[in-house]
Order: sequence, then structure tokens, then C-alpha cells
Amino acid sequence: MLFNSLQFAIFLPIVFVLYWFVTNKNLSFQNLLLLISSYFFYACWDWRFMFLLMFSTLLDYFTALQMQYATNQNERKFWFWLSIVVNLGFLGIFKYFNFFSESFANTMSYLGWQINPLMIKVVLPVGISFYTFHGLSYVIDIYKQRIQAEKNFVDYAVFVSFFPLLVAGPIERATHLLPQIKKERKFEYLRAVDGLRQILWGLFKKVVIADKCAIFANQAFNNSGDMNGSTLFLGAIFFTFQIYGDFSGYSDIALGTARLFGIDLLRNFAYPYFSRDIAEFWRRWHISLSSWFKDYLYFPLGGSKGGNWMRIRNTFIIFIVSGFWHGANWTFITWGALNALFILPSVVLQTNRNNIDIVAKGRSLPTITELTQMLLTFTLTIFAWIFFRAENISHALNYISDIFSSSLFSTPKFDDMRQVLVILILIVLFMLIEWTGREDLYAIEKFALKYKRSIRYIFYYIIISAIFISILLSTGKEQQFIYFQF
Amino acid sequence: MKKFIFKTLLFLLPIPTIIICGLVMPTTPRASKSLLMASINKNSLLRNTQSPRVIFVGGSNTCFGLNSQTVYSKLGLNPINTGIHALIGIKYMIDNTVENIKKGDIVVLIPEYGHYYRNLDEGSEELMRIIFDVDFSNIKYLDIQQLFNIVSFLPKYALSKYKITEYINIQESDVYSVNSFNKYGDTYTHWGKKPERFIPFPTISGDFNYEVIKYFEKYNEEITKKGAVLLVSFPCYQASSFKNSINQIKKIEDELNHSKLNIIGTAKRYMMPDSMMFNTPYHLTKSGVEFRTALLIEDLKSRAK
Repeated sequence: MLFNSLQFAIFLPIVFVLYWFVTNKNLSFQNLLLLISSYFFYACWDWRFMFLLMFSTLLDYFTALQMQYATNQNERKFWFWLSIVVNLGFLGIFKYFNFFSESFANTMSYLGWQINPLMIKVVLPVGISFYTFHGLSYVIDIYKQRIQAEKNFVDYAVFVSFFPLLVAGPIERATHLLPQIKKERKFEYLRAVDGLRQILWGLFKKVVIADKCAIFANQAFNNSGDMNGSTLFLGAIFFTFQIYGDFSGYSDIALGTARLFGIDLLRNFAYPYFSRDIAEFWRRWHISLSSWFKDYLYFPLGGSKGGNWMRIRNTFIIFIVSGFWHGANWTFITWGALNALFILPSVVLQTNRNNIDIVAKGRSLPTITELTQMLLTFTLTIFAWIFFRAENISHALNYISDIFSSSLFSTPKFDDMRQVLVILILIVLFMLIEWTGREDLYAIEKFALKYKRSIRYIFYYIIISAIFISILLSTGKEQQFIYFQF
Repeated sequence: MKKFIFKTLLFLLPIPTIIICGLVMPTTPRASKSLLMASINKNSLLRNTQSPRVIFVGGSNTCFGLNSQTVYSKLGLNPINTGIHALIGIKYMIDNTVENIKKGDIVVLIPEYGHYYRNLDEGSEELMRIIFDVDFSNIKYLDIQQLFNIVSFLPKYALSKYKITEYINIQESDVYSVNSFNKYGDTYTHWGKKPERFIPFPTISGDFNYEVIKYFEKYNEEITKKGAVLLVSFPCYQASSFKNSINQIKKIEDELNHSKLNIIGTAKRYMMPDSMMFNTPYHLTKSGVEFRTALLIEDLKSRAK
């Protein structure tokens, strides 16, 4: 069940009404309803993987309690490593087994030994990377004695499988979400309206921006050998907006949906394409994953305490692991390594925390320096996304070398140039709205509130119309979110 | 809370209103020219063609892959080609024909390979359009799952009624149009045209759908009771696409051979050279149509013996 599907448009109001009208007197019933709804939501993809989710939840719940009641450190260690090994084991089998097997066979063939890689035919369970990381953070926090183990199984299971975040995050922390699950929730009108507004903006990003950009990004990347430099360059820009619209759109819908149930999820995006350097970009892109890696990998590795060499090593480790988290392909690893390279100068010079606040705060326009910094960062980002989108490394390298050919200055050749122009105008309008709302949680949070109701409604109806027109021009079936595959 | 729900419903009211209006608006001039409209003529053929008859049931591989005039000349049977589009779903195609099957009819069922996998037998957007644009009374043939499948296409369909290009400047396709079929139901307007470039289909995805075979067996029982005969055959399929899905096609053939159905021909026999394909891996050029028709006639004759 996709957020942009008719099924979800039916599912959400039903759960909402049951939640606030039927189970509202009792927190336990509310949480039980959320759990049942979340499992139903997940089972709509593939009911068989529901058992994997249940097993993972049970394992972490049980091992956390065992750690809490363990009488000595060895016992705690045993339960901790059991959970880590099993969780990562599942992730490894479903997501990485074939990659390692194939890479091993390739390495052997370089050394002169021909072996057939052992491949397993399994479908990647939707959201496995996300809910595994939920569980891992919980178990690590218990082991480090930062939090107490949750005794109520339903509450813990809701923390892992709450449907808005189940398949593509944000990657929540027990310290943030569990207290909200355990606390009585009262319906707040303004909060719910705000949630709906964020859902609307998320749908706009997904259906109008991402899905439209996807058409031409796919044309460029799928036929890159036949395209000229300018078409490939535009294709890379389209992918840059596709992935932003797709993933941040998903996150907006997730946050908005959770708010309808009186729950605030972690913010996942904060206008990353307005960043002035790569370090700022990574504080604004997929925030919940970046902070996860920072807290559970970067700091345990020593963070930036041990001098330049350790900073460089740790930076490379977290970016490469982060790339690998996205998928079992060398393209993702290269994408991670590239970002590590980009961020390296600021890490070495310790200027990586120069740009903490949003750009041009309190002003309408950026300075020339800020604009130059933003454009430079954006260009680096586009360059890295080419690796993220390409089928393999040689595809990415050919794509880049074809961009920088003499045909870079020729006319782009997409199937429908009129639609390309429409999408480029839409992107400009979209970025203008994002720029205007960049100091808020999401772009239209307060954008329309400045105006009287009639103008506000016209603005909302324009967004709704744009969504429906995009659906009308599409193939009819809703498009999958990119991050579901991770 | 009640205020929130009331105001949300009020705010969203224009959306269902526009969709419902779109659904009840008459079929647009553009849709009236679509190849799906051919089902009216094809149903009329099913009702009115005299016995002895041979009825071909399938997707576009059937209408783009047969010369019924040759079938008539060689077999002396009155052919009816009911094929239109694979995405109508083989289940609907079967259900739509069953009440018009008469004693002595030979029904040749030729599903496309995709129909055996996932739930493609149940139909997609084209099924929705055939119900809403062509004949709404045929909704009686749809089961819950089919209804559920087509619901997701309704908003797009309803909104298409507001597209100005549905009403003006309509250029009728010379291949995919209600007027592209001959008197037997074969698509023939492309026969003089040059083949178009297209990409072979990738490997068929998804799990094998065993329900499809069970449904064919049920169909077989029903039409056998009526005194007709059901034969199941294989679609014409481009060689390059065939090779991409060779394991999936072998699975289909194995399952059919282990069923209670009467099978004619083999999958490999109907694997067509790439040079005989017109614009998709299931659509044949004129020479391909003649070649495939000859094969099918041979198989029907050998079955008769």
C-alpha cells in the first residue's frame, strides 16, 4: 500500500476514525489499533514478510529485557550480540548475500580461479533496512544503559512498526518515539490540520515533481549511450529533483500522517539543496539516517577526537557504510565515498560546522557568496547522484564522460521537449516555494497562513489540481517510492 | 474533532464531486474511436455468426496474429476473433464469451504468457475502460478482485473526461482503432505497413498463478456441458522476448500439459522470428500472420484427426 494510492486514501481515514472515536478512551486500545493497522499496512505488500517483521520485533523485545535483567556483564554481552548478529544476519542474507557472493567470485576470477557465485533467489522485504535500524538503535541504547527496556510488547511493537515510518523511515529512536507512544494523546485541531497540510505538500513533491522528473531521468539514464551531453546533463538534474521530491515527499507524508495520530516523528529533510557546503547538506538530507550513523558508528569509532587521521578514517567509514546501507551495489559505495571526499576538506580544516543555520536567515535573498556556495554544493551533489542512479560504475563513468563531450552545448533531445519545459518551470516554482518557506518545518507550513482564507484555499486547490493533473497525465498506476527498495 | 472532520470533508468535497461527474459523463469522442470499442462488434459476431464456428479467445496476440479468412478457407469453419488487448485480462475474456458459446463450437483459448503470472489474468486499466466506456452492464462479469483492481484507475479515467484533447483535434489511429478490424475481428490495417522498432520484453516477473489453470479447467467444464470443445494454445511471441522468459514459458507449458485441458501445439512452435514482428513482441506483420495462421491450422487439423 503506497502513500500515493487509493488504498491508502481509504485506509487512513478508517484508521483515523477508529483511533479517535472508538479507541480514544483507552491508550492500550489505541496502541493495539496502531499495531494491527501497521501490520495490515505491511501485509499489503507481502504478508509473508510480516512474520520476519514480527520475529525481528520479538527478538529485540526479548533480548532487551534479558539485557536489563542480566546479572553480569557477560550475560548482557551475550544477549546484545545475539540481537546484533541475528538482525544484521537477516539484513545480510536478504540484502547483501548475492553482492558478496558475486564480488567474491569476481575477485577469484581476477586471481585466476573460476568459480560460480552462489546466488539466492529472495525478494528484498520492504523496509527491512529501516526497521532493522530501529531495532538496532533500541538494543544498543539498552546495552549502553541509556534507556530502560520496554516491558509492554504492544508499545514496543508500535515503536518498530508504526505504519507511517515502517517502510521508509524516518529512522526513529526509542528515546524520542516510545515516550510518545506511552503517553495519553489528545486530539488537537491545529496539529491535525498541520498534518494534513504536510501530507498535501508531500504528495505534491512526489506526484508532481518526482514522478514527472522520473520520466526524463529514466529516459536519460536508460538510453545514455544514445543521448547527447546536454540531454544527459538535464537527465542528471531531473534525477536530482526526482530523488529529493520522492524521498522528502515520502517523509512529509509520514510526518503529516503521524501528526494526525498525535505523534511527532523525527524530521528527515531540511531543504538540503540550499546547503552551502557538503557538511551542511548531510545535516539536511535524510537527517534521521545521518544522525543514526553519527551516534551509533561515528562516535563509537572515536568521532573527531583523535586528530586528523582518525577524523578522515571515520568520515570515510560512515559515508561508505551509509552508501552500502542504500543497496548492495558498488555504485552506492562509490556514491558514499565521493561524498566523503567532498566533505573531507571541511573535516580536515574543521570548518564543517560553519553553516549551521539555514541560509539567508531573516533575509529574502542570499548574498553572492552564499549563492555561489549553494550552486557549487548543488553541482557536487548532482555529480554524486549520477553514481547513485547508474546501473554500475562503468555506466556512471560513461554517463559523466558523455556529459563533458562537445555535445554538452547542443540542444537536448528528449521525447517530449514541451513537457521538459513544463517540468523545468514547475521545478523553478517548487524551489521558489521551498526558498520562501525554508525557515519552517516544511515549505508551506506557514506559507499560506499569511494570507486570508480565500487566497489560502485557492493556493491549496492549485496544489490539489496540480496533483490530479499529474495523475491524469501519468500511466494511471501510482509510482513506487525510490527508498522502498532500501 | 467533529469540526476537523466536517471541515476536511467540506474542503475535499470538490474532489469526489469532480470524479463522480467525470465517471457519469458520456464516453468521449476519442474513447469512442479506441480499439476497445471493437468489443461491441465482436460480441455481436459471437451472438450472430452461424455454426460451425471456431472462436479465438485471447489478447492482442490473437487479433494481431491471425488471418481468419485463411482459417475459413482451409477449415470451412466460421471464425470469430475476439482478441483485443491483453490487459483486459483473460478472466474477463473468458467470462464475456461463455454465454454465447453454442453446441459444436470450437473455442481456441490463447492467453498471453503474462496472464499466467501474478494477477494479470484479472485485467488492468483496459478492463476498467471496457466496462465504463463500452458496456457498463458487463460489470456483472467482474469478481471482487477485478473490481478492486480497476478502482485505482477510476480517478484517472474520470479526470480524462475533462481533457480538451478528448473532444477536439482527434486523429484516429490507423492501427489501434475501432476501425482496424476486419469482418472476423482480425486487426488488418497494419498489414501493409513497415515493422516498427521496439525493445523485446524482459523476463516475465512474479510468481506462477495456479488459479489461472484452474479457471481454464472450470471454463472447459462449462463449455463442454454446452457441447462445445475447448483447445488451449500458445501465443505467437518474438524470439528475443521468448529467450528472456524461457524458464517461465517452460513452466506454463509443463503446467498446461499436466492439466485436464486439451493443448494444441507447443510454445516453441509459436516462437516467431524477430523479423516477423510488427510493433510489440506479440504483434505480427502480414507475413508473420500468414505463417502463424498456417501453424495453427495445422495444429487444429491434426487435433481433428
